[in-house]
Amino acid sequence: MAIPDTYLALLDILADAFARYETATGHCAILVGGGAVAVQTQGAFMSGDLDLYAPSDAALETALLHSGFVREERRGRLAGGFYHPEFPEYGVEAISGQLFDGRADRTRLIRVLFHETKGIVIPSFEDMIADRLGQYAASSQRDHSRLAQAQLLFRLAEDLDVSYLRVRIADEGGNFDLLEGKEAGGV
Amino acid sequence: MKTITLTALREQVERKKAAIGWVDDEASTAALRNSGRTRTPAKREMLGQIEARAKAVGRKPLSSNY
Repeated sequence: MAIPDTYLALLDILADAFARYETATGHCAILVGGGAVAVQTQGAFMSGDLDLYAPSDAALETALLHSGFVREERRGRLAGGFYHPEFPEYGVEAISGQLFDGRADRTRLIRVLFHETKGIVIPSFEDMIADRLGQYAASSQRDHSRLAQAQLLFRLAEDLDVSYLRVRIADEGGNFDLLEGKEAGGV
Repeated sequence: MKTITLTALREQVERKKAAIGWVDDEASTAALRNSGRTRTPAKREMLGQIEARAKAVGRKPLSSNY
């Protein structure tokens, strides 16, 4: 499926929040997880929940609220989730910790521009492939969708740095050979 | 940091999809969808709320396993 227009519209608003965050902190917020895979596969994979990484949770919350997002309430308590009232079919959540445990080369981040200067930031294809393979390796019940996502990203990426990819896959505990279908099923 | 426009990224990815014979359809999307087996309780709750919010206003939520 192509990326839904509603998803693109939400990303446009999210780009506004990212710009606010960057202006306030000097750092960029990053769309990670399935949301990044959706952008990198242009809708072949889709996810209604978008995970964001940003060093300052407080600044990210302020930026999201100023861009029209509202807090999600879960079972009577406030949690880290937000949604935009115009697009209630999506949810946004801040994740804590360091981006890929501090192992990713941040110079490889990708800024995807929607307008001349406004856009969202996503990890490199290499980092997302490694992330998916790591999650596949870590899951005791072998979620094959993660492997399929990694294999598709591997096939869609342009100018992959294979040396860096191998290092990152090893960091995440994954198996590079799975990308070429040498083990388990291919896409 | 690398920079690319959304339009250029879309063209790049769609060109690759065509080159590898990838077809975006329900079956291929379903094969990529997270199984939901490894989701945390908090994530399951979030996805449940997304679905409920969407249905409350007559929107069709994205399919997800949780």
